[in-house]
This record gives sequence, structure tokens and C-alpha cells, in this order.
Amino acid sequence: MDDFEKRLQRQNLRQVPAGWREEILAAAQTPDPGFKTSSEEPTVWGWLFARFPVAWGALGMLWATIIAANLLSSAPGSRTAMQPVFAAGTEPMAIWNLQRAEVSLLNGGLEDTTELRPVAPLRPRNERRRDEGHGAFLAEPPIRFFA
Amino acid sequence: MEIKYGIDKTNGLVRHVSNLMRDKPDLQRLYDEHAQALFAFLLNFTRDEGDTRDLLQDMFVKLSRQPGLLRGARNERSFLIRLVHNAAIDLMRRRGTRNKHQEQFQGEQIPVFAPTPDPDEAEFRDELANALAELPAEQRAVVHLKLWEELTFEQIAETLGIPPNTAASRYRYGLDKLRERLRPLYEET
Repeated sequence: MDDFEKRLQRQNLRQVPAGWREEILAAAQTPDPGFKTSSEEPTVWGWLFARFPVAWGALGMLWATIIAANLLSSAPGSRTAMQPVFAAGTEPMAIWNLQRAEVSLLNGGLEDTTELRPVAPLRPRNERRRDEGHGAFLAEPPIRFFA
Repeated sequence: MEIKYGIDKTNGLVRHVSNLMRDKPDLQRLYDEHAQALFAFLLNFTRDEGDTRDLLQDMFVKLSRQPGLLRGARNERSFLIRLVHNAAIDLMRRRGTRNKHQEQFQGEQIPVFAPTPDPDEAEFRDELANALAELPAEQRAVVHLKLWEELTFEQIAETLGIPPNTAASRYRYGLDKLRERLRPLYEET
């Protein structure tokens, strides 16, 4: 550092105006109107709910719908309603024949006692032809419910 | 809390430690230790007393509302000078180009230096203030930090966010201009 620099360095700079200290510190310690104290600070959930109310409402409705649908589908009667009352078989036909036989007996045997044969379940054509007597074999007699 | 403030009045160290523990800056201590240097730097840089006051106040408001701002600072003085320097640059940019701002205040006599009863010294200070005003703001900032804050070029570079070589070259250019401008007065004495 030469003499010129030292000469410059010796020049005293101006002092801060006396009144500034109190004014600046007072301004600095004034609470920020936009600043919230810790007791007023929202929680994360509160912030989320406040920020996206429509989205949260829609999500709540969706969950309510899902839960309601789930409860309705698991009601006691709904599961058995889908099950068949009769297995594909001869029970209705047997009941019908029994009723006809009873009526015939009551009427003194005047009623036609021809028995209804149960509808054969669906089977391949060749097996059906054999059962109906069109084939070369008649190994089995027709099904009869009453002797 | 009352007890802490009671101790504050008699023992500054306890007050300082107390604030460190609470991680809240002691604004009074910061003002007493750094306001003079910040004021002189800002006045020399902006050449405007109103801007200097606003920038100084804004910095203390910022420190008050962001308590962790000084947490990682290695050198408080350098950190605070950097804060006000950046704020002053932002202010100048908002107002327009720096050249316009300089032209606005070049004709005004800004009392950067303290008054002195010695008329020769007073004349030298007036001329020095005018010569400083003619320097570009970047050179003026480096000259101020080198001469009156006595920072090294590395410290100046860190404070202003420039390379050390740039800081050194700006100082040399600025000092040469001041020497040329003040040569008649300097050689007379």
C-alpha cells in the first residue's frame, strides 16, 4: 500500500445518523402481518384439506360409494338368489307325476295315467338316438317312476 | 424470559449466548457492530442517503424475520455487506440502468466523509467524494472494501461474488482514476 492509498484510508467516513438506530430496530422488530405464530400454524393435514377441498370431497364420496356397494353385495339373500332352485334333473317332473297319480286314484282310475317322462338332459346326439330307440340297441328300458 | 432480559442489561455476553441458543439474531448487537460499516458502504455505493437507509432497514427486517439467515455465515461483516450489496444492485436494476442512476447523482454533493475543521483536508475529502462518484459502482465497491474495510482481495471476491483477479483489477483501475483525479491536491500537500 503506497502513500496515496494510506492517505485515502485516513479519511474518516461519515457516521450513521443518530436517530436511525432506534427507528431501524423498531421497524425490524415489528411483527410481520403475514407471519403466523406457531399456535396459528396449520398442520400438514389442515393445509392439505384447506388447499384442495373439492378433491378431498370427491375422494370421500368415492369411498362412501365403494363401501355402500360392498355392503349391499354381501347381503345374506343376494348370494342364494343366484343359485338354481333345482339342479337340472327330474324333481319337478316326479312331483307332477305323483300329483297326477293321486288325482287318478281319487277319480277311480279314469284319468290318463300315462307317465310323463323326464326330459333327458342334453347329451350327444348318438346317445340320445340310442335312448329314443332309433339305434340298434335297446339295452335299457325307459325310465319309469311307478311300477 | 424476564430473567433473561434482566441479565441482558448487565451482561452482553449472556444476552449473546442466550440468543445463539434460541437461534435468533441479536439485532441490537448486529447494529452496534456492523451498522457503521454497512452505512458507509451503502452510502458510497448508492450515493443516496434515502436509499442507504431503506436498504439498511430492509436488511435488519430480513434478519428479524429469517432468524436462520446468519447461521452458516463464517464472517458476519462480509455476509451482511454481501446482503446489502445484492439488495442495492436489485434496487438499481429496478430503477433502470446504472449509468442513468449514476448520472442522476453525479452532480450532487454526497457527504460520504466526516466533516473536518482542516480546510485543506475538507477540500481533499470533497474532491475524493466526487472522484469516487465518477467511478463505476463495481470499482467503487471494491475500492471501498479494500481501503476502508481493509479486506483482502480474496475476502472482497467472496463478499461481492466475483473472482479475486477481477477484484484486484477493479481496485487497480479505480485507484488509478482516483490518483489521476486527485493528483493536483495530493502533490500540493
